[in-house]
Amino acid sequence: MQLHLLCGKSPFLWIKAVLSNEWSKVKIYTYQEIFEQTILICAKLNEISDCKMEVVAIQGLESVNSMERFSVEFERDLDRFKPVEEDVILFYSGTVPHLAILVSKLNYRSLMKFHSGKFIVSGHIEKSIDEYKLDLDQFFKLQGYSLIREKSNTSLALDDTAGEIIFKSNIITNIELSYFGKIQIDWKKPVSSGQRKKSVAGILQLIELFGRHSIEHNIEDPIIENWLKNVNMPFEMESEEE
Amino acid sequence: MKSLLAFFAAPTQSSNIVQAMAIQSHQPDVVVQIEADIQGQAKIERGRPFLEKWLEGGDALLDLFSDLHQPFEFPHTPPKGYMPGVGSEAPELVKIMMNDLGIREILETIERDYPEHECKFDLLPGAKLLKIDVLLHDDNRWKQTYTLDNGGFLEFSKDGVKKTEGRLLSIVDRSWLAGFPIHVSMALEEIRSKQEFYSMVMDSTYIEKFTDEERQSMNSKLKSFTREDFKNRKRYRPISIQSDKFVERFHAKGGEVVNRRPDGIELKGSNGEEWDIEFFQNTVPNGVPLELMMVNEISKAWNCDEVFQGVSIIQPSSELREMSFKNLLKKQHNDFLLHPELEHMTGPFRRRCEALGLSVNTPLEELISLEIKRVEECDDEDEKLAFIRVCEIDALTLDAHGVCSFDAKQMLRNFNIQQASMQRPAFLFNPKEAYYFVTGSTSHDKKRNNRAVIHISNLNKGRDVFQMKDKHEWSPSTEDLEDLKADWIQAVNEILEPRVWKWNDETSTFRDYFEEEVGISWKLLSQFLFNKQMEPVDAMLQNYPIEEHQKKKKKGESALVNHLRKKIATLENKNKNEGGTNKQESESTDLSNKKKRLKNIQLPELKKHLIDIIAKEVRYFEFNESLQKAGYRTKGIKTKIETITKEMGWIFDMKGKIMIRSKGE
Repeated sequence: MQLHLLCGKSPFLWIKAVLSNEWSKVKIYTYQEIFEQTILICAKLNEISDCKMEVVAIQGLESVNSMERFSVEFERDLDRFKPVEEDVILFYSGTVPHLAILVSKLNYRSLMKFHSGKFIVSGHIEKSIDEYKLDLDQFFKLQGYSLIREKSNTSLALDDTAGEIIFKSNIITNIELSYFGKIQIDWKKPVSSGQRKKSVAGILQLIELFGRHSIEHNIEDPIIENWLKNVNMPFEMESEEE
Repeated sequence: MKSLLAFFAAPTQSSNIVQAMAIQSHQPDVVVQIEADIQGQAKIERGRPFLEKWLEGGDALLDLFSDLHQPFEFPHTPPKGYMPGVGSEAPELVKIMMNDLGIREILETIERDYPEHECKFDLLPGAKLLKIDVLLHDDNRWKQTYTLDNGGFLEFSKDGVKKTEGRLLSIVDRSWLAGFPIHVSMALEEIRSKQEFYSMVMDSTYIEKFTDEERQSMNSKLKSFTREDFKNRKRYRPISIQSDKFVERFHAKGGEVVNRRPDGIELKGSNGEEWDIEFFQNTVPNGVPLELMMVNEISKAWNCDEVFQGVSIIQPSSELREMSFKNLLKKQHNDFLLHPELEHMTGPFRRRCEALGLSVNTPLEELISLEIKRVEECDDEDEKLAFIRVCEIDALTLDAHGVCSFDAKQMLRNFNIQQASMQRPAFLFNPKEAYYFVTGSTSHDKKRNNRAVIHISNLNKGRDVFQMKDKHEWSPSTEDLEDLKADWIQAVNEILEPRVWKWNDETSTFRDYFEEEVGISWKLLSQFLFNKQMEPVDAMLQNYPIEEHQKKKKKGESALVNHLRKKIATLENKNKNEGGTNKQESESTDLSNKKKRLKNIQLPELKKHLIDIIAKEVRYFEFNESLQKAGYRTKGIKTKIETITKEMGWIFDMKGKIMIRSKGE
């Protein structure tokens, strides 16, 4: 069985998907902006897995492209690939138009999703695969970072000889991997607007580093909770600078 | 053939938006909402039937907001509601609960119940995980589609991706559908009707020099500014209507400065448009002029389907509006108590008390209830909205990329990404993080070169602005470059004058001096005037102390002075050469001459032009532009068009897409 997948800014799930089964081959569609990061992760994955990996650069959904333009270009870009064989599974990642185009153009007949600790394949192949238990340290190492937890401080350093600290916070109370395969971070309850802003700054920094979908933030503050849910309600309006 | 549209309906209020987008775009006869709850998904009380009422029309949707008059009547822009296709009605809405049914069974049931319908499944609404079975459902009866943000949809098949045009869902309706009242100050049609005027104002703006008043204002702030802060303030100046050159340029373009005062300016356009601008609002620089110029530039070059200026997203319930009002009044009160020495902190609360005829010592609760009454009775729309809105957005646009917000800032002192993220109504944006832009009128330093920051002079490039390396920096026009040269030459000549030099702490080197006199950084100055070619002497010059120059001047002409003289000569020669070799360019910059060459258009000639555009999609401003290109003046053109249309029995719509149509159409 082969696994094909489209990687986004959050690599957590596809790393687990690659490690959870002995695939005859893994084909990774990635795009220019994260090409180097993908290659780096694959090189590290090859240290713990024997499977053959192929990384292919495809059209990315960049901010200068509208969805319409991107879809047309992406579909044309796929002309260079032949329709896939029956033993190929496509991991359900990327945007819905990405997936719809891949399925209709390259005829993927089996899709794999992650649900409650398992990878579930449906379509032509029906199968359930137990997830690979990736621990936090492994996850960060695969992306080139080291996680350091010392007393109340949590930091992330670049995993090289210089070890530059790229994130630091003293308001994280717990960090672990969640049941749904995400990094779960518990933040200290803010008691002032200053502390609230500090939490938001930390959250934004982590989103910048790991994307929006890898991490689940828990914080006992209704305003930030609402903001995280992308529902509404900003902070109270402050005096504006024109 | 009748059509049926199915999609997944998420149990969240903001999911109404994507569902309505799909319905509006497809305009089907039947809509099937497949309701599914996903474990772990953020759930919100389903609440009021916004989507159902929206399908009935804008008024029906408004009826769901029964407390719009509380705590007081406030202005709002009503939704349009569903717009059916020609000869059609609103679709029938059918709900199916997923429960234990699989998607295959549901789709087969729909096929059985609607055997004669063309079936489409739209993949935009609903949670991504649910759609896996739809993608695998290989049945020719179903077409898989994806609704686009600005109307229309994509259809996926083995033959490729096909786009079908469709109607878009307005930003205004989106806000109401998510449960938030909205008010917009100006829409695209109105902005475009004033395009010529705002463009004239924008093209007349020039560097606003640092003044003693600004220094005083800085000194009156809470923060104590350092020497470097002052240097930066002089180095990174905005282009604005407050510069002296503005008046000169505006006149040259055919405009009139009716009144110029220290705290404002009154402008009159060549078609009689009037604009009275206050420079300050409660001692804070007034951002509205920049906002309007920004919106005008966007409306010209960004190919938007919708542009709204001055958007207020209002708190969704009377309780929340009242709470917001009280909180903000309390904040003003606190500012008043905590910073008695600062006018911009004490002024707003003091003026409120004065307006009510109350002492500043009046108990806050009493003041709040009286203030609510006062605001209720006042006519100022902004005053009514100021304390009850979730946020105010300078401009919202809708194009093929989705909804984008633009914030106009004269100077970006502290670009606070946290605040920027907080003050956006997230339900409007998809994807959330990529569509927030800040437009500045100042060439900021490098560290402000954030993805989101765009200098107003670069907005005319449309989305190509993202290909620019330094989109946050000013791009001067040919006319600006001429003025820059003149400013620089004047500054050099002042150095050469045999007089006592006035320098201060912040102006100790030649670099400081030129930056202060011209109002832009040394880097941009050499880039604009000398094509970045920093000669060794320039490098030396920038750090050369003025004091030293002062001492040496007494001993005769230095090498430095000779160098400066040479540079002036180079620039002046460059001007002459450009004048001789690039006639076209000089024609485009010498606007005052160009103005003189424009001739008046006579009625018979104008009638011919109007006949050419009857029932065609030509807007008023586009027509005016075409006349100007053809060499005609457009001053007073509106009256002439009205005369002809009256005589011919045509309909003249100054704000519409089709400016002239015959009455039968």
